[in-house]
Amino acid sequence: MSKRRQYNNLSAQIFLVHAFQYLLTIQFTKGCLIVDVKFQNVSLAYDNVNNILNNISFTIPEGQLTCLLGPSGCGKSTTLNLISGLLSPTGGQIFFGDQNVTKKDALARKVGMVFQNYALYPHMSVLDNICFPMKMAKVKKADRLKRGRELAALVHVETELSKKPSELSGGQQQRVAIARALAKSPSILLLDEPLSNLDARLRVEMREEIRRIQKETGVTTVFVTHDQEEAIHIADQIMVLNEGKIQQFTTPNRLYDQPDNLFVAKFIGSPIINTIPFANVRDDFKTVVPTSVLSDGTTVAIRAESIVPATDPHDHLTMLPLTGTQVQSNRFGRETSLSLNYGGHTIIADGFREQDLGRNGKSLQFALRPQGVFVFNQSGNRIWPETVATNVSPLKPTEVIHA
Amino acid sequence: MTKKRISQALLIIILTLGAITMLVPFIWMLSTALKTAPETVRVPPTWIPKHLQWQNFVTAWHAAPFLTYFINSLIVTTVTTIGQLFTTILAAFAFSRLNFYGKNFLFALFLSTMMVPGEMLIIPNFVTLSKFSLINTFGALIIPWLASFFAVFTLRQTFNAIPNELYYAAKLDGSSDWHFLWTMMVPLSKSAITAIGILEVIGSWNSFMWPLIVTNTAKVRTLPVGLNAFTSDAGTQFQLLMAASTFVILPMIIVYLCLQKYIIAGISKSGLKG
Repeated sequence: MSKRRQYNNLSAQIFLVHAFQYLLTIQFTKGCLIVDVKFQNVSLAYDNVNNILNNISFTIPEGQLTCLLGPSGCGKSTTLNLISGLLSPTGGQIFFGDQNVTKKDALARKVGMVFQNYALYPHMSVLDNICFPMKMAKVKKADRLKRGRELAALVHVETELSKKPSELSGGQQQRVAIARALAKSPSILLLDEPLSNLDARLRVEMREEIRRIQKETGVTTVFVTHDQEEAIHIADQIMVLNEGKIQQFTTPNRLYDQPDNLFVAKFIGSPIINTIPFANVRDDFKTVVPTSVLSDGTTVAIRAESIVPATDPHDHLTMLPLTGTQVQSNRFGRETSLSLNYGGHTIIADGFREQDLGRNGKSLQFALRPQGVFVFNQSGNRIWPETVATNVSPLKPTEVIHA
Repeated sequence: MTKKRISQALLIIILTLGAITMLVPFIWMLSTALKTAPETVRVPPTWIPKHLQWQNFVTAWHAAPFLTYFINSLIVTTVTTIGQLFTTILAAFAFSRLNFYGKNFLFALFLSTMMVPGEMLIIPNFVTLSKFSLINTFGALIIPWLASFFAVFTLRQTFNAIPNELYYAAKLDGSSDWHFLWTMMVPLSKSAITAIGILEVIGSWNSFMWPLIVTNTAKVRTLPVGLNAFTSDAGTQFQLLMAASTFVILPMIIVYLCLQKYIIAGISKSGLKG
């Protein structure tokens, strides 16, 4: 009997949780169509000379959080502004779902946008800020105030409704900006470096918040950042851009585990991946890479955590223990950082425990783990290890794995 | 420490001298307004009159139709100020946010008009207005002052300081340029707009030369022109002129004292003096 009741209780709870999630989804996606974003051969040139974006094509999958990542000037903000309609492409087509929006302006595209400096209306209260897009859309006052309060609750600023933006902390301003962007039930939510004005601790907190809000609302979200760590933590998939070209577009883990080219390998991961001219260490790799790689490889890149003591019980690449000279070692709390001279270059290893370290200036034997070692050719493309190409298109939503 | 004190003292002395220089004319005006006619020209001059002649104010008020002048001044000042603010806000928005053909050229052209001395405009403006048969009407007093490039320039600087993101955000939220201007730009530039307004109120209220030239009957004359009543071929009745001056400038002093923080904010923001 009691077991039965417990069972009922449990199933009731499960039902309630599901119902709640369902309601949330209904609530915040009400009237908004969840769409994907397609770029077909889009180019943008200023003054017809400088190509900011050069003939790029991609599809941002619906209902997911996608990061545009790259160094400043790589074209990521430009891409975002092209999606929003604040900029028009000089060539190519843009689709939201099946709809060609290339010629439509920002308003007609129904996108919500959060700017780096939040762009809250300074003379309006928090509630008025959130309700402004609905006021513009001529939503009835009672309805918009009700929805404004719901959105404020979603982003946890319900206690600040009558304050002016200047009275809020950076994180709260950010939340209000997100609520305002969601107020018009956007088909796509765009965030332009939204965390860069926040301090480090708040940044981590807000990135989890943005992820939570995105999952609760299910709105297709595009997030621009130059911070690879931020991108890896928040995104379902990441598009790495450089010099107006897509370098790689895939899930964060694939980006880290299988960089298509040297730029991506160097851009993703901290500390920055070690690179050594392949010619200096070619003999060491004879037993592990095919002859074509031996002849074509120009650079070998090794992640710091893939350099481990030769005595480490993990699997190693089938090569003789390598020998380097220990230059310096440091311990920072639970991390150690070891500088080794190998192949004429100083490389950083952080896979060593304190007891495995040698003495500075003395030689030290080490091994490489199979993951995190890549060989690139002259043009910077990865030629080893070979894997199924991932740069063609992003993964289907069902394949996406998030850490 | 002492060095700081010396420079502090110097600063106070200089500021005091400046303040005295500014105040003396006002004090002289008040003191003269309370003198008898012979006392106004006595050498050496007296600062405090022996017997205060309060009836000077009553005599002066009745010497000319000052009530009509007062109402006229009020009408002209109100209409020019509101009109000028309206054109200024629209022009400043265009120069600050809109992109149109010849924008920079037009701006440079307008800027160059600030180098033309006001006196040079009197004759062309007079000729134009007389062709439209507007001489001796309120039109002549109001129309030439409905636009001021100084005001446009000042407000454009303020508008430029408003971040572009705000404009984009409002556009994405469905706000038109017109709506953005009146619900965002104008409320956010309140202090600059108030400063421009006050400067125009003071300028319009005190304007003497132009109303004197384009009006010739009491029906449309304004207060400063009315002060002319005390000057004739036989000389000037200084005590009455000063008494009348006192009540003519009194409204402006009140306006200034109430709103001075806006004037100073507006001037220091634009980096220009009025």
